[in-house]
Amino acid sequence: MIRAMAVVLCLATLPVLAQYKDCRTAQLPATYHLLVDDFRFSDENSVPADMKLVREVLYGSVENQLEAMKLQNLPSLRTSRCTGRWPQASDFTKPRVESLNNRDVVMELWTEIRPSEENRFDAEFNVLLVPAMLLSLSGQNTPPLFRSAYPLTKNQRKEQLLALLRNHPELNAYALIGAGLRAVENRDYDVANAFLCRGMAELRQAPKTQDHDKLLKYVDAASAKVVADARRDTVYIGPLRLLAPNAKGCVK
Amino acid sequence: MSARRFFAAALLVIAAMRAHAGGAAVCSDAFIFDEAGANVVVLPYSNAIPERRDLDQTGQALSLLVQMNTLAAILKYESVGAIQLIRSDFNDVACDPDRIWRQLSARAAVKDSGLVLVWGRIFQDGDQIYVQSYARFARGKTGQESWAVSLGGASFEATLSEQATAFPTETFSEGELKEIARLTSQNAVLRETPSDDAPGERMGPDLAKCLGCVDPGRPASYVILEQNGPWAHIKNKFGQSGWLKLNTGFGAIPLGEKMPEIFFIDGTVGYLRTRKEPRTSFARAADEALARYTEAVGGQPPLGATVVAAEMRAMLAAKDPAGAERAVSLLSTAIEQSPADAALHNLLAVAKINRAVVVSKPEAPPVQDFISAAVLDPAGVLALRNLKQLLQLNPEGDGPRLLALPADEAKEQLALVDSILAKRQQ
Repeated sequence: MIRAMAVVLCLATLPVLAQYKDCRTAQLPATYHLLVDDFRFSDENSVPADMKLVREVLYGSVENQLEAMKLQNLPSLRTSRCTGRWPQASDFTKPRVESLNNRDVVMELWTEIRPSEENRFDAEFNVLLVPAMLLSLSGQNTPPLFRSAYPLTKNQRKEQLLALLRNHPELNAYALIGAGLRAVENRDYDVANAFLCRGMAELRQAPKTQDHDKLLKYVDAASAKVVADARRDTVYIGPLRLLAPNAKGCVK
Repeated sequence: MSARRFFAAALLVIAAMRAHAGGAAVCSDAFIFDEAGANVVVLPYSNAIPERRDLDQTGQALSLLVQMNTLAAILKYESVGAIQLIRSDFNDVACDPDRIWRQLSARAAVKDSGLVLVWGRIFQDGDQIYVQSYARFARGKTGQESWAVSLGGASFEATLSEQATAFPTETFSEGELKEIARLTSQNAVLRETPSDDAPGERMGPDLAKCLGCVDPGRPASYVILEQNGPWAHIKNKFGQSGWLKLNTGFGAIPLGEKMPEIFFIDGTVGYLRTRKEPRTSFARAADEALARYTEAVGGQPPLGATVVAAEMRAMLAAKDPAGAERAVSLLSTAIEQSPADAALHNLLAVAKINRAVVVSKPEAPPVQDFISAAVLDPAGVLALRNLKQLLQLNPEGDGPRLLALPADEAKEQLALVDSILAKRQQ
């Protein structure tokens, strides 16, 4: 079975092609936004034609996956295509991240497809979890930037391309967790709990990595905070009050 | 042959029919067979790379194979139709799944029939084809499939988690697709008598000769006249009739091995037929098909279809003590895969109440399951209403089916549930 490699993102080495171009999102009530930036090659000029087709299909496949997320009675997640935008980590200054957060952008994805060895390309998803960069939880922290790399090797192309084109639960997880963390900031307890629980469930289906373990712990702490805050909030009337004193908001 | 039998079972198929705009099966003229209790409508699979028009034939061929193999698989549910829609031109916007769904589900509501819509995307890399399918289903005017269990004057209600689902991407080679097409063509033959040696005529185009070709001369819709062992005698509206063998390679299995969603579609049609016209044989066949889907995809995400398959199997099973037990078991397993699904928790709670009713053995009231459903659903009221009814039940007054809750605790929770419901219903 093909397993994705996911490692902490250290984006300082990204090439000079990076572009932080504005990407508009529609102002809609009860909507969280997911930005899908360009999928680029590190060197567009030397890429075989078949790899350009793979990129196009991959983009559509990821977009479809994010748009097809099942959301029972939750504010919607809206995917925005950001053509021409391809940032690097250093572009995400605090004012910029705050601006994204204020527009309810909860996740940004940009992708690089780069040759790594002879007859091999790696497709790397880079994700910024916007609210995680701003929300600090006492005792827990998570990297706000994630990378998942999927190899495409000539002699294993069939299996690896299938793995690449199949569903990536980590992307759904980042989107749901991002929305949950944003709802935590808004003290929207019920929505926050539902998003965080779904995000954790998706993340448990994703490739197991150290960063994902950290993120799980972070989200678990965020969920516990939601339940505790809800109980303390005298104005809150909702189902989290029905939970037993030490019960968690999410079922494992 | 009785008239009842004649009309009870309608099998209708329209295979790749037209080569010019305005034909009966282009997307803009989408239809369902009014006589059928359930219809499966397959849209043309679109190319993931729109510019690759050379792949149009593959998409067309695939949707025809899905339609024909689905048809053969669902014959056992008797009153069924299978329709393949095709594009009038390269950019036929009429093939938009949402548009087709709105149109056909309105018609299915009028005719009180089941509808399954299938569509998808393909991508070809060398000789390898990658496919992702989607399906959506509904039954008559029932917008949302639900299940109600009565106990002590209360009615506990649950719904399926979703009725539109994405399937995992699958892959197969062009050669494998051609082999499936050959098997399909070989077996989709109407014979003069119920015998493999009898002369026959193909039901659709010869896929072995030209995969993806359309044959304007073969518009067809069939009804079952009689059944004889593995053979069904069918005829179409244009006078063509013959015997079709059911348990051949022409069925769910050849394509289903490459695209397990065929089993899901098969099981969903069986579910829709059973819900409208309960029959043990339909329920058993639907259960087998859905179990086969689950086994074939394993834990491969997205898990939506796997969860819904378990939910449909549970709803079909829960009529006797063994079935009621199995429903709880199926849903408990599904929750391990999808622990944050509010509708699934609610359904499990209702299945536990059903078990208490059917088995007549006291069990703990599923308060925690309803609470889990409620906390995972930030705006819904279904689980909260169920919880309210459960807390209001007086177990001693209604036979020993549910164990009593501590009175003070129940009273306190009931007051809280009332206030949450009042707030949500404002």
